[in-house]
Amino acid sequence: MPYRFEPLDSARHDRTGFCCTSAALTAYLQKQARKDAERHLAATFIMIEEADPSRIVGYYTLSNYTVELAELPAEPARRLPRYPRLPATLLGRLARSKDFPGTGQLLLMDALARAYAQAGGSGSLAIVAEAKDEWALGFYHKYGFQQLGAEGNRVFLPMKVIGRLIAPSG
Amino acid sequence: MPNLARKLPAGAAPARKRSTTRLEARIPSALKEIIEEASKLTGHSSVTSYIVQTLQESASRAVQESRLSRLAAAESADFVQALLTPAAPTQALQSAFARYRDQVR
Repeated sequence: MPYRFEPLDSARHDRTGFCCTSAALTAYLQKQARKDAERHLAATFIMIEEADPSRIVGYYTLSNYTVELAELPAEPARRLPRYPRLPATLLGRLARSKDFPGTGQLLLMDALARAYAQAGGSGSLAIVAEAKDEWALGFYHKYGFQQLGAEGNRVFLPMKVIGRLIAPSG
Repeated sequence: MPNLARKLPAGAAPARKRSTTRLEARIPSALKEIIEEASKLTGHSSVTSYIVQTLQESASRAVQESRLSRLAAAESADFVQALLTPAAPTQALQSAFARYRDQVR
């Protein structure tokens, strides 16, 4: 069953028909996603089945993110830009419909591929994800995400890892 | 009153007429006196303009904070190390990506 991804288009995608296991993530898509896109706060991407393009299988959001470093020991810092603020991409939300189990990993893969494709322009060095609970944390760890800092709910994957995935020889 | 109109990219449709709404809060009288004093001291013509500006600054900071992680020294070193010497994609990542290539157009 072929799937496709598109930027959220409230004229074509049936947001009210979407329901995932998190009330907050369901409500975000229905009430907030379009406003955030208008304000350039976060872009929402929709997963659909080609056969039924108005029905939403799942969605995720991407936005710009910054990782601020503490002063670094001299050795690794020499090989990085001097300023200690590094650009990254935030995968802020990811949710699939209750009716489409098993599609979460496809949503994540599209997010990685899209973030990687955009990284050339924005200089993003890593994708950062916000895990809303233990289950989500396990989901990201499985795909190689590592803990970001001490907060516990933010994880990251370097763009270079995605590069190896997409172009293994490069 | 600070300009709250959102920025639009060049060529975007003209902004809709800015809508407004009321925000009310009961606060202790003593706090209101302090706020009145502060708004005078900071040169605001009204308590409302002081409150709106202060709230807007605070709200923008809160949004900004949620878009930034500050790492301590050891965490920074770990992060930089991971960027400089990226691990190979995990088996689960490779399988998921193969499925993605197969099922997504």
